[in-house]
Amino acid sequence: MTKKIYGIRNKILIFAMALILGLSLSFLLVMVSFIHEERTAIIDIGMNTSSQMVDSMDELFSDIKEDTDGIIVDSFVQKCILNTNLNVKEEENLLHNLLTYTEDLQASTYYIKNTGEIYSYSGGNINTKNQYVDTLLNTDYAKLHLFWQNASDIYKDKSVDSVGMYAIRNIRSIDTLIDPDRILIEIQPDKISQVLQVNSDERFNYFIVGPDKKIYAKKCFHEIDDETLIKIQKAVSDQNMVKLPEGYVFTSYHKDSDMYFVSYISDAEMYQSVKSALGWMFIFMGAAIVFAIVFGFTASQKLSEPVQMISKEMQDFSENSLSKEMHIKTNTELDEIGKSYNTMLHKIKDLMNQVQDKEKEARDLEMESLMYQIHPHFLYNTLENIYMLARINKQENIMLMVDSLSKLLRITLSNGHKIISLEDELTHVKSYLDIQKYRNNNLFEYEIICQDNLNNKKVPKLFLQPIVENCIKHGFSQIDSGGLIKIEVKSEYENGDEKLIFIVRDNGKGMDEKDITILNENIKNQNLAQPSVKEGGYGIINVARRLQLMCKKVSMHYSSIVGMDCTIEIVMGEDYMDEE
Amino acid sequence: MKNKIFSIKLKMAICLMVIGVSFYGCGVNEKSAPESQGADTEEEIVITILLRSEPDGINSTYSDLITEFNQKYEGKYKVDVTLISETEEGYRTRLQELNAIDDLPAIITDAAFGSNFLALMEENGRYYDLYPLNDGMYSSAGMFYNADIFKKCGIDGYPKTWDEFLEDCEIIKSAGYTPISLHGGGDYWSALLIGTAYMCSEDTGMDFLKETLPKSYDNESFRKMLSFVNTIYDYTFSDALSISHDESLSRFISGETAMIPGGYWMVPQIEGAFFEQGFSTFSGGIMLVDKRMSAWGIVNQDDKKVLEGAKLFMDYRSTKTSQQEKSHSDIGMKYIAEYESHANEFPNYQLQWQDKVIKEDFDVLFPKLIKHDITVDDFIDELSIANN
Repeated sequence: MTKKIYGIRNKILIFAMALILGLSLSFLLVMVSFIHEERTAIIDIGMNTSSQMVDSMDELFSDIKEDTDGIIVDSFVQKCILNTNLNVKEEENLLHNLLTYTEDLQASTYYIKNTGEIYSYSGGNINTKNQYVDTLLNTDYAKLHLFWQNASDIYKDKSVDSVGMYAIRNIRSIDTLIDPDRILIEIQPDKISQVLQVNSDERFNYFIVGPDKKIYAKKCFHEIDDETLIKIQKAVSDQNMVKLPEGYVFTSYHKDSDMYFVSYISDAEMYQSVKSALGWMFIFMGAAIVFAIVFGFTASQKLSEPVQMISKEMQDFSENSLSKEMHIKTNTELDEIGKSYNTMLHKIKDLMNQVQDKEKEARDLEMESLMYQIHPHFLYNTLENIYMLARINKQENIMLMVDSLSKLLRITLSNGHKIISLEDELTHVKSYLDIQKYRNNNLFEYEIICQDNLNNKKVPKLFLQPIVENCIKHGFSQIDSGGLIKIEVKSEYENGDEKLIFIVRDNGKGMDEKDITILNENIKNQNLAQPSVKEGGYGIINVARRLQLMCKKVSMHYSSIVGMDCTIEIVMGEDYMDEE
Repeated sequence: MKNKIFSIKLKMAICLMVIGVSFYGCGVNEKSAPESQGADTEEEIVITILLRSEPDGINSTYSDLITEFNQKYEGKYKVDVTLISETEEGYRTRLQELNAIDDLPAIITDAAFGSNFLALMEENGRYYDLYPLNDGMYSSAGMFYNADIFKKCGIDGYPKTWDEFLEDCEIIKSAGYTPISLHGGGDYWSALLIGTAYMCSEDTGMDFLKETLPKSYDNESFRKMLSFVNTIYDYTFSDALSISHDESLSRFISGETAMIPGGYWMVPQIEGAFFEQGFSTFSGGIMLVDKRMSAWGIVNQDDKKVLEGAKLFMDYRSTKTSQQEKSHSDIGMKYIAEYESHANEFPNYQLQWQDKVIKEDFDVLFPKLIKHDITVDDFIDELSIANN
């Protein structure tokens, strides 16, 4: 069974992790897409660069063709074709005409008669027995051919082994069946450079490759090792693009010149631009993830704190926390929960007050009913008559008991007040003790010690009487005499507040630890199911309950040594719920 | 609980679908950019043709044919027409220039307009093939005649022998009519048609005429031809040397002359004449039949697909032309009847003898001969000198 994730903060963190995962996947997709798009863009550029070189070559080829077309159809040149030997004047005119047509090429031009004579401004002894040239010209009628060859193959008197580009063409008669003359043009290197310089993208290297797949011209922005060059040459074909392990080869073929125009880009160059972009993307993604984590923790904390506070308050809820309101300001629905909780507290408090009021009312009614039944004035008058009779008959014990009973009743009734002076309370308990002492044949003695200046302090009415009653009934139940009840009243200050401390001690049989514990527990819980309550009146628990209801701050605690004593300490503040 | 589980599964499914679609999209783009790309796909084959434009800038004669062909073979072949607004001579000069710079279109009309050009093209293997229209039926030549004049002169039908021909010319001349419409004006093709027809009545003459670009014109057959031509100029207009062919044709149509040599291309003009028109082979039943005269040529190409397309177009042209019903006039029908029954045929001297000889040397020498300033021998001597 899977362990469920608990806690709002943990859940928020889980969602944050899911968000990060989603962001990471998105980033991955973006990265893949970006790399692909960049690669596609570079491939397009590669195709375009090789095509541009072809276009540039096409321009050069067209220029040369146009010039040589003009030479062929020139009327004077047509006459020269039929003329086996040109005189000086004719030669001069011929060269002048050639120059007129080829001026834009700024090239070295050679007119080769079908007899083998060579005419040129440039000088140079052309090798008329060039088998490669013968083969070229025999393949067609009068097409223009561009080819690469060593200068030493073109010129008889040149030993320099430099490769150049040349144009060759048959010069045909338009109407006579006769062997053609030829025209040879040496293309200037700057014309070839212009073809390569049409491209300026420095990520690529550019090559012109001949029909024999040899590289005859190049423009390289990056070093290429020999091994890669060989691979590039082998990759040159009719296929527009070939992928080598090292990079991409883009080829465009110029049909008229039978040359290949090649662009090459290495993988390193291709992905160079991608790297920097990816670097920034990684930085951005990392920042986003960090932000998501920080946000997750921060947001979860901010949301979970009030929730935890609400949860704790509700768990710790008791009678004492009714005034402990929650103050939540998160600007979320949690604020409403806090307000609703506070409202609930107020309502509970009101309900409890209503219950207390009803209990008080019930007690008041009971007291009133009791008082109604007792008829205090009748009782006082009757007791007065008994006192006078006892005095007449000089019965001092009867006089003492009637006096004590009168005082006890007077204080008990005390016009229904629930709070009386300490002096009256002590008088009441003294009267009770006097009566009990006489009734129990001097079973015990008592001592009341009250700190000075406390007589006017207010205390709940009739709380000491049940306590001393308990001392007599239970503490002295196994003795016939020698009992002692000591009541001590003092005050102490705690945190600036005055507290009254009542200590009632008897030297009776005491209670064992178990009974003391149960008694203190019952006092604390105000459990009324006590034999003492059933037996004779309000009892200790009743006292405890009354004191709890009447006093804002009160504590009762029994202690005892079996066979020696039993002591109760009552500590109360002077703040009462109801001052009446 | 079930709803909650379903909701969670639904959300997970949606997330997985989004991720899957995204990866698939990348994959589709990957597949659309293959590592290596092959050569270009099949393209429409363009067949170039050079035509003369008419005064309105188009060539209505063949525009419908070409349009129909292009529609039929759309996507596979396309005939691309270049029009030049040149005269017939200008067009031929342009063909020569284009040939010299090896820029001829795939198809040219007037493929055999001159002997030199034809020899140049054939010797150098420039033509893949020549395609005459209707086997050259409508570019053959014989003699148109005015049947009314013949009747008035008591001549019963066209003369069957060359002797009868000369006799009939004499009769017609005596009757006050000009026997033959001939011209000069730079070329003498009407007279040379008759002359070469006469020359080919003998085997030696036929052999000489079948010789392409002869190295020498000094032979008996040529001499006889020159002599015959000289003779027939006695039976034409006195100003024949200075008039054009159009003028000589005009005079025939007006009924001034009894005969004019020519072919089907002259039927549209002749059929309107008010007299009864007749057509015959030349005497001896011989007719000029040279398929090359009406031929179009396919220029040899490196690209075999272009050759195939050009052949396809030529076949299409022949088929369409043969399907077209020619509304033949009376004289047209007579022409066809003579063509179909001719006994012998001879080639066109214009496609056999040197251009220089025809255009330059004849222009100088024929007037002298006809004016009797030089003899036939002188003619041949000067011709030989001019061509050595």
